[in-house]
Amino acid sequence: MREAFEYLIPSCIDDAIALRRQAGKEGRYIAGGTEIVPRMNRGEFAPTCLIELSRLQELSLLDAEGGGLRIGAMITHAEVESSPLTKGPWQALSDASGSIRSPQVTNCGTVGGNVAFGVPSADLVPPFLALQANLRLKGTNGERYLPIGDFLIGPYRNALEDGEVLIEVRLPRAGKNFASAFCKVAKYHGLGLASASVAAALTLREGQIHDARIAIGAATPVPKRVLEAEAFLEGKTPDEKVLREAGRLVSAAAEPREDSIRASPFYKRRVLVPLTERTVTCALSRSRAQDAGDGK
Amino acid sequence: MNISFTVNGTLHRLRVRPEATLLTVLRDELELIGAKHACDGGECGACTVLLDRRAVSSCTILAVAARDRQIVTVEGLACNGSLHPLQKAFVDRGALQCGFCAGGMLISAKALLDKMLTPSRDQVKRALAGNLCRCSGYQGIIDAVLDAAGALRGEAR
Repeated sequence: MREAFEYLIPSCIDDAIALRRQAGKEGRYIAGGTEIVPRMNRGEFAPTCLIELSRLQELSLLDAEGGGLRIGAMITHAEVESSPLTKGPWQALSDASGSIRSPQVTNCGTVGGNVAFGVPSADLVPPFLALQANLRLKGTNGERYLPIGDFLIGPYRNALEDGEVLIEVRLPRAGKNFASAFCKVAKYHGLGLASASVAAALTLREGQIHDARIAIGAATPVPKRVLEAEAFLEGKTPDEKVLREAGRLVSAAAEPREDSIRASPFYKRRVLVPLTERTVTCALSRSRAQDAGDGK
Repeated sequence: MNISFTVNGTLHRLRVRPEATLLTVLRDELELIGAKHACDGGECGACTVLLDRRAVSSCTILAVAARDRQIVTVEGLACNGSLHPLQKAFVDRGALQCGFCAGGMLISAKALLDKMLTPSRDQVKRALAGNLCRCSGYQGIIDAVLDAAGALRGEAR
């Protein structure tokens, strides 16, 4: 017999945390619903208490601040794709949210859901890794910040503690000529769920690559940075050989599942080479365009 | 839970189970069956409705989450017995095969044309990317949306 199902709509963060703690293991926060509701429909997930986050105003802020960016957990993919704030240095975010096939998903799916649900192919996670995102979390013991790399502890698992809520994603200040890009391969003309994805962020100074950060998605249990490729790119003058080697290092870091659904492990490893080349090339050209734009 | 929302201009006050999706409430409570119950997972677009003017899959939204909002279903497109230009274009183009996807296609196309009246063919494809047609009749559907855009701009075909 199903117990009474509760649907709660708190209007402040502290109330949400308290309700979530009271609900215990059977409680879940719900944002856009694009992951949770289909699972409920299929009977895979039967919570007894859902706590809706839509009234928490702090979760719906999207703001440039001190050269960085704050993106509330309830900001939708459609808002990320179309906001003027996710352009320039943060273009990888707009690339990622814009790569999601269906408007029905981008109109509902949220940044917080994409990060916290922990889907290995989540499109925003590689960009957030490359952009060194910090997640602002709040629980009963107050607030804390966690780098996104420490937040994702396994497929569909995150580091949120009992009752904690993800408030926003914060991106540190971008310096001059800092640029980013995200590319994926997927069905439906590249708009489906990622078979493999790459995000790159870098700064081009006097023709040399600096502070490159490369992250991959859908090719490891959780998206991750490829430090070997980052170290290799430091100080390099980009040419075909350099890009190819970066791609090789990224490919070597992949750990695709043997039974992966959307593409074989062989394909994922193989495609990461040109995908990395494409992503880094795109970030480089954006860095050059920014430099040219600044010089005007 | 007691909620209210507006569907096709009419305010409805309803008592819904919190786990009921907007789709099941539209179909089973309000008997609006234009939104189709198909994949139940936000994959196919057959259940697309407008929620505050944006296209959403009504199977991935709980009815309670749609409280106090404006919903438009395919039943709300025709006005005083005359077809919406999109519907007329679908008929004129023969853009329907089995017809199961048509309601969702029309709603996604309406979301697009509410935003822009001169979409490119690519923009139409992007707007319909969340709607699957298992008869694979996409070209006729895209042509019909472009025709409807022309009609809404006041151009004769």
